[in-house]
Amino acid sequence: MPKKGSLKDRLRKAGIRSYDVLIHDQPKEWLIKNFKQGATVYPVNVARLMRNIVWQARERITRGEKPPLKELLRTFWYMYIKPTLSRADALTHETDQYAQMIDNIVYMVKETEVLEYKDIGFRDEGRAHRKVGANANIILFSEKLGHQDFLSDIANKYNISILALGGQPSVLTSEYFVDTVRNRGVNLQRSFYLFSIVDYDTSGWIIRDAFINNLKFYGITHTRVIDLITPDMLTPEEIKLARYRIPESEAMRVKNKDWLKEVHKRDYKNQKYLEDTKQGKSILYGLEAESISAKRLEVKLNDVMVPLLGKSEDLLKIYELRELDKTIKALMIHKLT
Amino acid sequence: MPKKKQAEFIRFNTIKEYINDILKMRSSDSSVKKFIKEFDSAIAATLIDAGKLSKEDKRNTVMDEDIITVVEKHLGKKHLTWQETAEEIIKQNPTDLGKISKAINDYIAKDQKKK
Repeated sequence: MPKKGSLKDRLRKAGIRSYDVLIHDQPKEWLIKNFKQGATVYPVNVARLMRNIVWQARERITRGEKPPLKELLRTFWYMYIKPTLSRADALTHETDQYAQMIDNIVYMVKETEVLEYKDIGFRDEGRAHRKVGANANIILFSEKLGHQDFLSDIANKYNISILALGGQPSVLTSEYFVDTVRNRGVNLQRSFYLFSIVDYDTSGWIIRDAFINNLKFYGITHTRVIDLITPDMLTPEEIKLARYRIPESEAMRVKNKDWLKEVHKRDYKNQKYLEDTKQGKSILYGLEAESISAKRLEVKLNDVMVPLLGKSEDLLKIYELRELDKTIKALMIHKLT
Repeated sequence: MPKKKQAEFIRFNTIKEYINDILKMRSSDSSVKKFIKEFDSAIAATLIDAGKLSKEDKRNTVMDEDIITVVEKHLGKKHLTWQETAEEIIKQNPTDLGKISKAINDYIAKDQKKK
């Protein structure tokens, strides 16, 4: 029995083992014989088959039997996974099996920690959307690729790090981004300031939190997030024109409630224009990231980001202590009046 | 599904005997049981948090630093003098100092609304 928590133990729990033959080259009978355990809908256990093909690719590359892949995840799917599933009569169009492959790789990376993307040498399709600047610890990121130009302009002007996520953040992109930061000689334990441009709604904040979670997984733990898309960036009139109703599907009901709870903790003064009640039913509105102009975002960045640039950890601490001093004075005045 | 049983860390007789022998007093069984229940639950919560901290640090071994942090969180809460408060604040890293400033500013804004 392998030691609890050891690599062997984690591989065993994930249903992964070494095979002497190339899994993706094997005939249907062999695939069924070796991967039928736990199979339900198809003749093979699809998740287990995917994980073993990925693991075998890693084994061959790390042993030097094969050069690093240098291909996209999507290409890996077409090269190794899809043909094997097809041969095993396990290919379907009813579910997104490419997404299933991605989920299984994320499971191997984040849950069981038996793999890193760079072990196989996957290419990052989001490479053009990320850049690490001299001020590596100042990260401006956006949910949508549409903000890429704005991010690039700011990066060029202030030499900061940028990342356009393009939806749900990819773990692969996060791994490579953090690797680049580390390779620049930046201590991952230092303070990182994250400026977010995500929709002011449930999904936007889920995306933001997933990105922060990925950074944390890769060792960036001391973070402070400053949201740039908030109702206080607009006037009440602008909010009324820009707001949109947040979908209230059954699946989103609890998530919306959790999001609102988080929003209320921040106490935005204009939040009241994003909540309404009609016939006893509460209505929730959100704001798209695009509802705030680049000009206004840059003004805000000048205010909250520029003072942090070019500062060592010690200087940042002095800066934050001075800010705290101002805040405490404001608190004293507030208490006295 | 049967309800998971609360772990029993403290022995009934140990407490009973301590009250008898050291405090030279008697105790009702229910008071001792109540005491044990509260402390067993606090120990379990503390250990769970310590486990989480070590996992977050990618370890499978609970270390001193995990225990010190969680014991402080669960059992060590106390009223700090202004000097201790200042020392605690100065210890923080820059991002956490920023969060403290923000929390104070948020408090002021919220309180101003009430006035």
